[in-house]
Amino acid sequence: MRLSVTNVKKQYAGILAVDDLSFEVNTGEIFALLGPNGAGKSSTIRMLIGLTYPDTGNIQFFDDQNKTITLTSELFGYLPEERGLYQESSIIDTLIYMGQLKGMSKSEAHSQAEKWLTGFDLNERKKDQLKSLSKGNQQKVQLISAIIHQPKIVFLDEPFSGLDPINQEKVIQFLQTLKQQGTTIILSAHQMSLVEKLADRFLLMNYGKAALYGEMQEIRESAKLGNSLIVQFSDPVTLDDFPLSEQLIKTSSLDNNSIKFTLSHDCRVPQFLQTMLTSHQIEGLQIHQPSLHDIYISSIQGTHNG
Amino acid sequence: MDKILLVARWEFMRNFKWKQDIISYLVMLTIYGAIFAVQVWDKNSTQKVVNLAVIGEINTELDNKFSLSKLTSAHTTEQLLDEIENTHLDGVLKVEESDVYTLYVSQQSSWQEDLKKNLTDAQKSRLLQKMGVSNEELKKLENPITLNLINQAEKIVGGNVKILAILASVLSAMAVFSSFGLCFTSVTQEKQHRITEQLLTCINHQQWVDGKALGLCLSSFKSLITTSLMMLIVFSGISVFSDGGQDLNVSAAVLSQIILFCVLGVLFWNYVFVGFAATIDDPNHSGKTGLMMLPMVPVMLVFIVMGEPNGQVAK
Repeated sequence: MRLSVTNVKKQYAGILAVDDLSFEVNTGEIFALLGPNGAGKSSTIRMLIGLTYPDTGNIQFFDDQNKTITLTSELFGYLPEERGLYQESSIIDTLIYMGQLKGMSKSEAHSQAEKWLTGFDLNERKKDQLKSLSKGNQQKVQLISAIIHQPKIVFLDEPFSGLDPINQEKVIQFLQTLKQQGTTIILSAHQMSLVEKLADRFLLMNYGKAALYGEMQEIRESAKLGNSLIVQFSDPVTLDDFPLSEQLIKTSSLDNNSIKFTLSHDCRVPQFLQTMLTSHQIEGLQIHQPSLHDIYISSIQGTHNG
Repeated sequence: MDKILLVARWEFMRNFKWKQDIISYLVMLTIYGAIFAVQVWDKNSTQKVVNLAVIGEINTELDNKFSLSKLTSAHTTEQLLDEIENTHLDGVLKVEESDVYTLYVSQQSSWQEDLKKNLTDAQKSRLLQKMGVSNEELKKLENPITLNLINQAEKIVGGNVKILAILASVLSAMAVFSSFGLCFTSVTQEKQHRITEQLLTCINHQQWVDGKALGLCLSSFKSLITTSLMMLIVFSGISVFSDGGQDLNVSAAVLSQIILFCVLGVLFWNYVFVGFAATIDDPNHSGKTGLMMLPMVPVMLVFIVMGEPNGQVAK
């Protein structure tokens, strides 16, 4: 399932939450919505699933034959930002209920619930009350409830929040399994390293607008951030040996006679190294492309006060 | 419709904790039973013979349970009380005048009321005899006329319809208020826990409200039926040991009207509750919670109308 968002605006009590937003999500891809708190990610997701409606603009969904379709509850799954299920009810009963609400038969919902609970090592606790589970395990149950009916597209608002690294890894595997099954996944998250590893394309939002959009390479280019080099020298060097220029934006001294160089976007690494090698001997070299985290920080920093 | 029923069933089953219900009812029955047993035991274990010492002349035949003896040795209150304390006596009855007595006892007991009744009845008989009035004539004096009420409405609806109507109103009110609590926990907590947001991605608002209200109605009906059964058990238990209860002489048509009244009332108020609760985000800090007491108004009206079916309120 593919989706297209065109010039969408949404205003709440005079505050523009989403401002002229346009993007597309392709079938079977993992699409990440990024941005600081209040950037409009959750508002966007809520409009996509029909909980609220855009003031202006269009949201369209397309099937595999590229025909426009209406997004019905059977077609999508949703994990809200603020979690909550029936604390006093048993895990299996809750999952069956959610599955039935999404159009599954009771037996179908039961077998799917058991399958996913087994995948998350929770099947032995299926008859326990939800409140008896840890926060991380409750989150897993919530995730299962969002996808139990095998939707074509899932919207996950902060799926990693509150999870420890091991459970984050499990959720990543879970999402990759969904992707392999052809499910389109739209997620919002603050864990940049996880998202960078997981998502195919990204939309960085700021103040309701699209700040950066595309694949990792595209947003790197759009962000105009250069590479950084960590160079270990044979001889003792100081930062004064490397004066800043248009191409060399920043230097910082590290241990083991090493220096970190931050290059400008248009500075080419081979030429920079060639120049350096004329006056210094190098023992080791690491080249780092700007990470999603770097891009995020550089794009958002200065536009927010807190 | 399927989804409405699904939500209703979930809502009902979520609140239907049969094990806890059975335990709760068993505990209640045990408590009722214990109270009743204590009363019966107390009644049966009350002293059979009351030993009374009499100062003065008593020209009255008392019940067999009173064993009378003469007392001449003690005169002051302290002496009389000492006498009771140090002997097998239960009390000392001092005849002051023919209709004035003083009873000295060490503690209160139910036989003291029986003694008063004995003395009163005897004195009444004596006075009637003196005045030449027979017991039949006294009864006539106490009830000089007999008014036979032939009530057309009672002929149609049955003699005990009012009792049944009061019972139905009270039980319906109980059922409605029990679902009032459930309504808050289910609707507002669901909102607070963001469950509603997830549900509304599967069903529309109308289905959600319908399902909730129906589920709560089922809980109300369950509470109505179980409370009625409990009352039936308790009253049946009491009637076995008492003079016997009244037969509920009510026509089938009226009974079905009363049931319909209960069902519609419960349905109506549950819809109202769900509607109100859906507008409340935080039940602890909402000015709207007071509106939930609205069902008290029709309950009060029901009692006024039952007292005066053709009065201004009914009209």
